[in-house]
Amino acid sequence: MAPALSKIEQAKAERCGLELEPQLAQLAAQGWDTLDEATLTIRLKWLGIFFRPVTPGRFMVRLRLPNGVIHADQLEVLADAVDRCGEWGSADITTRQNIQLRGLLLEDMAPLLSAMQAVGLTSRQSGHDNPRNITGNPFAGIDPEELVDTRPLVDAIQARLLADDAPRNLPRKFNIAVGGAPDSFLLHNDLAFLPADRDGELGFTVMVGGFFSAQRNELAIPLGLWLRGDQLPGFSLAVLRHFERCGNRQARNKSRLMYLVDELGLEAYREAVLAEFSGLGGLADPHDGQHRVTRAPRSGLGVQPQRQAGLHWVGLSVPVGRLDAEAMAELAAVARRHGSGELRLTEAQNVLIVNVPEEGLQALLAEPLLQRFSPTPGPLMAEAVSCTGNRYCSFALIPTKTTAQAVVEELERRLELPHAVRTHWTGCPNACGQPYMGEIGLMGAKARHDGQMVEAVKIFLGGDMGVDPKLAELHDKGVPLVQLVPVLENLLIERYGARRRPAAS
Amino acid sequence: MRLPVRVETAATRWTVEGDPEHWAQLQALRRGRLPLQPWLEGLSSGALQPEPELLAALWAQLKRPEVERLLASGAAADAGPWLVAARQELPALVATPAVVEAWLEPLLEHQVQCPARQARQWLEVLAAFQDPRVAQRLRRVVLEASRLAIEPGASDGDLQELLPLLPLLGRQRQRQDAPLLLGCALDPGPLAWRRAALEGVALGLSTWPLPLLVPALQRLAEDLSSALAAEALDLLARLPQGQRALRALRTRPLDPAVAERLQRRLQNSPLVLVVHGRQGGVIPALYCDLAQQLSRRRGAPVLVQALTAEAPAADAAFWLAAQRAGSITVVPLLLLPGEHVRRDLPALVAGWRAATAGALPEGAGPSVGWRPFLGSWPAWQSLLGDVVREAAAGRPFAWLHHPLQGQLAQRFLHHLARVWGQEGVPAVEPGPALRLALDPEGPALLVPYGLAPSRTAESLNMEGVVPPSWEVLPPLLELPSVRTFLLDRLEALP
Repeated sequence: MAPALSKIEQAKAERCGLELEPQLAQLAAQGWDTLDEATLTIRLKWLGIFFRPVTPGRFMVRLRLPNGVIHADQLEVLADAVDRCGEWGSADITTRQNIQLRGLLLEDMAPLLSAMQAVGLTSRQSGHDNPRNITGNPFAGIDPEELVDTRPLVDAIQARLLADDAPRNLPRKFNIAVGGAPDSFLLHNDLAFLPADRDGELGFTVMVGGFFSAQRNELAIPLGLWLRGDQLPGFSLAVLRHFERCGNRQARNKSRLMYLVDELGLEAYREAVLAEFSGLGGLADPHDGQHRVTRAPRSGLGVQPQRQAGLHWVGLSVPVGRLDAEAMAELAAVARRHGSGELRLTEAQNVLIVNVPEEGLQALLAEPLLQRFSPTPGPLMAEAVSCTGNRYCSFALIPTKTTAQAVVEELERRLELPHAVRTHWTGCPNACGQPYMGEIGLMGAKARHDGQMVEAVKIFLGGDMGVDPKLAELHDKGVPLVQLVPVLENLLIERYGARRRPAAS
Repeated sequence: MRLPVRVETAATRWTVEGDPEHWAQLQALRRGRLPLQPWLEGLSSGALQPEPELLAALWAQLKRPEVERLLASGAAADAGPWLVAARQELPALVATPAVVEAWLEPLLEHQVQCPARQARQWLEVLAAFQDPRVAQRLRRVVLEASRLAIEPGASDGDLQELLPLLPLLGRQRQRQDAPLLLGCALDPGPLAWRRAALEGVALGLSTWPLPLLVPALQRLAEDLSSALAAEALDLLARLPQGQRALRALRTRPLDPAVAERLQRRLQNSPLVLVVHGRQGGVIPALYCDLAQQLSRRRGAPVLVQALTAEAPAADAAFWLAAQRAGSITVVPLLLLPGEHVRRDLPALVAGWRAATAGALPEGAGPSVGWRPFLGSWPAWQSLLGDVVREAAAGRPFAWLHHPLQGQLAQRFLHHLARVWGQEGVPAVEPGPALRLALDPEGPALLVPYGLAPSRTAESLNMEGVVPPSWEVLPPLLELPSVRTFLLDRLEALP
């Protein structure tokens, strides 16, 4: 007898959330409070609409921005949506080169989705058990060090995975990424394609099973297959179809792809995927898993020469990825005024203005917006990554974004650092802020301080995204936030070569 | 007496806040992977503290008898942790029948039995549930508090604890609460109180009767608090026919930031410019350029439709703009009241109405309106008089028009002749008439009365058609002053 479906699996099986789109205006009119839990908290996510228990009635919309590419006219549509929410409105750049909008009413959804469609944006299947935003090299197409332009590949994979015949009911979320440069660290994805050679031809080696969670953290491992770029969409579909059919639907905490790989064994898993791929007319070559990713990701901040002579990109630091309507509109205007109108988002939650002619650099660097989003931030702010925190997420145990920003600013006031140090802040063990990838990882926790339970962080150290990648390991299981600055100050001095500034000593 | 750090039983090792395994254990409890009874026993007996995260994990798991048992025990003596748990967990659960069945009645009963301060906190817990009885209790408390709020000297502090009740009352979506919530937002009182009331209005937006809601929001848009005014403006923009309400604010004294926000919210209608096409429905490039420039200036799509061709295809952006603006405007760039204006235009507008009904869901469709034909605009007639006189520079001139039939058309031509001081010449075999009107030997200006190139106008430029001493004015749209006039006037249309 088949095991009984869990509540979530029942909800997904009963109705696909995509079917709700034509009813959005009607649902808004009747009020979100009347929606059943499954519709409110599960199905709407198929449209990219997230109920937020911390702000009931004020929803979040998560987009899909393949490869983190967005154009000024698209960003303006999003800025307008946030602007309409007044002080409730904000947006985050996510660690998947994506944007999520906050503070929206359910009444906003139908017009927003139409407005997005009109400028070529979608939020479809960006949440819950779906293939999430597909990431690629943020410098794709403009990168002097580029091995492969990931943009068309990412676009093609997305198009294939959102097609009508693609899976719509995976057992769990699924992250896919395509590498295109020597610094494309992507091993935290369920499925990663890393640039690799085979018989003198540049293609991709397939890595599978990377993920972070409260229970387990893994870097992706080589599947032993090599693909040409044009095979990536079909192969991704084969992996998803197999995952849809064979993934664990009984225990959600054991349903990410790596558990399936474990269950079947790598060899058997590979054979199963190859059979699925073969059914789609595909054929993959064997490969030893060697690839051309050799170092940790560049920040891309500051003025950087593009592959195209005479053009530059300018990387701006967006502190902890938080945007408001005014900043979004201004970013769009600046991109249009000084570049080609195109912007890129990075996994470190920063933004790039691209295609800026040499002669336009000075004017761009003089823009008032750059006082807020600096092209030359301090060595900690440059690579501070943060999840949402408890302002909007009910899982988070601390206000991560505001804490991260305040702590980093204070540390930069106190210390001089010889190089950037990547800090990853996350509010709970679900690890959305990827603490295991940080040189310093910080995870929200509770700890006893002066006899009281207080907000605190666990500290992880040693995450490395270089040629020999490894996950950060637990260093301290509970530092109260009130003690965090001095604790991190000492760590940075002892382990990362920081020196106290004269005025602060 | 409450037990300290850790409680062990044969079946369960309980953890408490601060324990490294606590989070994982609560997740397991929330997902129904741990037996409930030991936890219930622990809470009811006082062996376990009713910490918010534990209560949150239990909300969806309990049956009514278990809820009643918990509420009757010491675990419910302090509403504080329950309230924290309810804020975190209940919003997503309150439409789940099993949760309503388990919690609503016991909470209704428990809340009335508590002392005042506890009762208020329990009311906030209860208020997550949408129920007329809950709404009634909320209404009573808000009403009392609203009297306190408008008393002189009332401060944010006095009302701080009651602020969450206003959005919760809005979420109850009882139409009868519109006056109370709008009154709380409008009446003088602590700003935090008024903003909480407006958030209550926002969270029940589609419920409130528009005749009450629209004027109240319009008044709030003029409020001295720019934050309050901005939110009111944004709510107006979300309403059906909200554009009309927003336009009415254009002449009101608004805070500068709010006025800027108003400009951002005002949505121009997409335009359909109706023009004379050329043979085969070809649209002269001059019109396309005008539409493109106009579209940029208005921030809304502009289509050009030739009278002699099918309606142009409207894309998703056009329909979206129409939906947001609530209207589509047809502007006939026609200069004379001929058959096209009198017969073709109404049919063309009817075509757009039918297309609108087909393209958008019922009730979401914009209205389709049309302006008088361009040639009838007094400002246009006046402009043309100036343009021609300036171009003529003292030379005699004649204007050449499309031939017209009927009394109405003749009266219109006489009217133009009066305005411009010169009779028009019909374009059918114009040669003799023109030679009567103008001296073939002397200098003169010939004005083809058309916006874009036409066959007749072009034939005038052919060698030998008009005397060499006559100048033929180019198509009117090529004249900078005419183009500027049209762009300015059309941009200003709503």
